[in-house]
Amino acid sequence: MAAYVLSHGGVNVLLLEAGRSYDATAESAMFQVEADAPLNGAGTPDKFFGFYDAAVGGYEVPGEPYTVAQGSQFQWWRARMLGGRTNHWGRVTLRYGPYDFRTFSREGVGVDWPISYEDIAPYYDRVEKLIGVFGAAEGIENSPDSPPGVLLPPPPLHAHELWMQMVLAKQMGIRAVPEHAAILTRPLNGRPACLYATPCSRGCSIRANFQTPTVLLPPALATGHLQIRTRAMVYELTLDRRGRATGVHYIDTSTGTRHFVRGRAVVLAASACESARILLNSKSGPFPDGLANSSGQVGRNLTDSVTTAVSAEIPVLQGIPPFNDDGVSISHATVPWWGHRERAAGRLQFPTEYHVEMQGGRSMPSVGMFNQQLPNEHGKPLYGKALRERMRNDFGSKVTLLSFGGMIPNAECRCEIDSSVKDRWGIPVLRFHWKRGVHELEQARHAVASMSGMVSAMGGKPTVFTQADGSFISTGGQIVHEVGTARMGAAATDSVLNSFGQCWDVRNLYIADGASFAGHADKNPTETIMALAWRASDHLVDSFVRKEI
Amino acid sequence: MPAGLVSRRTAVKFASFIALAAHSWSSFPARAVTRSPQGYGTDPNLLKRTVTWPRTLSTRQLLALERLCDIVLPAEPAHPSAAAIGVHVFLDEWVSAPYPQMAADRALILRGLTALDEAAHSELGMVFTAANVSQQAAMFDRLCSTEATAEFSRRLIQLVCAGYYTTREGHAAIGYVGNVALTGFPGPPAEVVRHLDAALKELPQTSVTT
Repeated sequence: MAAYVLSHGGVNVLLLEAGRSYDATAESAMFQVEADAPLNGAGTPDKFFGFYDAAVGGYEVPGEPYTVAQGSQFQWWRARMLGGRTNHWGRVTLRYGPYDFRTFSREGVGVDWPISYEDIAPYYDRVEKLIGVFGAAEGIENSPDSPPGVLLPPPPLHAHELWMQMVLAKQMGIRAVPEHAAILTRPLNGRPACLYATPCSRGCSIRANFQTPTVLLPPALATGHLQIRTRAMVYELTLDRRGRATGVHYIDTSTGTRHFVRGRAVVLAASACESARILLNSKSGPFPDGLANSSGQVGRNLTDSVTTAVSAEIPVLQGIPPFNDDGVSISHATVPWWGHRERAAGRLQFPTEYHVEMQGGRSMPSVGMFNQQLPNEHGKPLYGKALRERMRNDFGSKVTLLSFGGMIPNAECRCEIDSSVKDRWGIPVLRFHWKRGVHELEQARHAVASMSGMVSAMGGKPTVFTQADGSFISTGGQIVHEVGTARMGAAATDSVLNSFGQCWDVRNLYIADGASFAGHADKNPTETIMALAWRASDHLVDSFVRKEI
Repeated sequence: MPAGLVSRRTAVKFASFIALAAHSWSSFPARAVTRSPQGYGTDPNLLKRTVTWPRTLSTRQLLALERLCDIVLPAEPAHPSAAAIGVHVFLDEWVSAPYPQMAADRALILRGLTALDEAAHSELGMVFTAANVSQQAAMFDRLCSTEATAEFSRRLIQLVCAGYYTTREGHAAIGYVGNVALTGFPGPPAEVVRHLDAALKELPQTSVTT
């Protein structure tokens, strides 16, 4: 996003990408069925989310380890390809709401952001118009509507979502509304609309979903102001005597050679933890604990979404004649947080919100669908003709509700340099510390109870998803929504960045990824990352114009 | 990123199965493997089905799985059996793959095949593959009901379903009719909406609280 905005502002930009080049229009497996892949597409340690997942990278990257402190659990998902996580994300595109920027003022925990919803709203508008987002205005408290004409029309709900919407409205007074997602339901800026087949996670060769390499980089390159250098692993920033960033050191991972490039300004957008790692590894006389770290906050305030899951077979969805219910491959419906009245009445034991998304329906069968309890009678597994009939009858009736909740930063969730371990390039790695706070545990309990009630109302028998250790809450980093490791704030004493993503300590250094978040709402972070990146980039362009940098 | 939560379970299973894999054994002689197989790596060509490891089951093991495929998912009008579309070959590819989950499944599957052979020897004085179809079906049925081999039969059924229903033929058999380009998404057909409307009317009016 920063490269797009800066290049359109007339700034010459060199984009350094640690991974390889990537062309979604040529590399995406669009209409292959799972059986066209090795192991019929099953996930493996090499391709964690399945063979056809577009991502190059994962929780483990060969030769690039990280460590986890004793007693902690943390998984660090990394992309090593042009466009990074935008090739992999779920496309859910939610705005933070007004309350989400005022957590301390409203709830007495966490910190307030140095900006309000009104400050960022124009950038949400710009992002949505540029990348193309479907959704609807529903007038829901703290889930902001977009102005008229900004969003594309949402697709009709899948059958299982329609049932959920009907039941929740009648039985529980809870609204399921159209999802907001970065997938085109109408042509936009030369990109065609979705063809309602083949999962977005495979990449989109027709450019109907949002991925940086298909949507932002081509127009940025067309300005003539952008150069891209892939396989360039940045590991250190440098300073001049006046305390200004002068450039970055990087390793060409195809040759192992080290290089330095000079710039008038540096924008870090390497993902929240990778940006923190680069800062912490950039030590100098003025910054012995890492660049831009006079506050001591770099690497701290690490958060990730709080997720729980409840599954059930829904009898009313069984025995339905076959029909094409693919849609846009992700959920068409979401259940925004509905507990404002309960909170105001003091009946909730946690200060955060969560929303509920739904998976299931008649999507293309994958190996994972069968790695679970299959039909049995009297404890004996079905097979033969009876199994065939049950599989046909039950197809499309399994649903999984997932809660995505906010998190209050705590002192025990952070990352730091583990100087005893280096990656294959000789760069010191990160060590993660992680412990869920009491707020998150209370929220997770509430979510599991709520979603169990929902699937029961839909006619199912709830099964709560548990991890191998018996926990029913996601571990750190598992949801790949980690943010906060170089937070923005109102004062240099307790934050790394000002309200524009500019480092307090180094005025020509900006951060344009999730590291800048001052809090973690329930909403998926990608749209806010893009809006903040746009706002930071505008500020940088203005600073160049005013000759402040 | 909901997929992460579900997939983590698989990751944990990968780890817990490493120990099991170390105890892989079988009375069936497997093909000799002369080199250490490699996985397809973290950045394979997604448009090409390249399997980087050899299939390692013996002819008799493969034949046994072929018979079992037809027991688990036999043919029915308009839909081929699992063996007819080569699900047993998928199983060979699966249990030969150089990944921990597949190595664990290999140990489990080969133990099950050995149990079937032992049952055939005991009851019929022959190997499992030499028995006739009804004898094979009866032996598999008994394995499904026997605690010591229930894990094998359940996992075999899972894998046969995975190998079958992820094919185009399997899509037709289960009732998946998507993966075709549309100019617009119409939503569920009117008859499905009527079905849901009717079901909703039957729900009690009582409010459910969270």
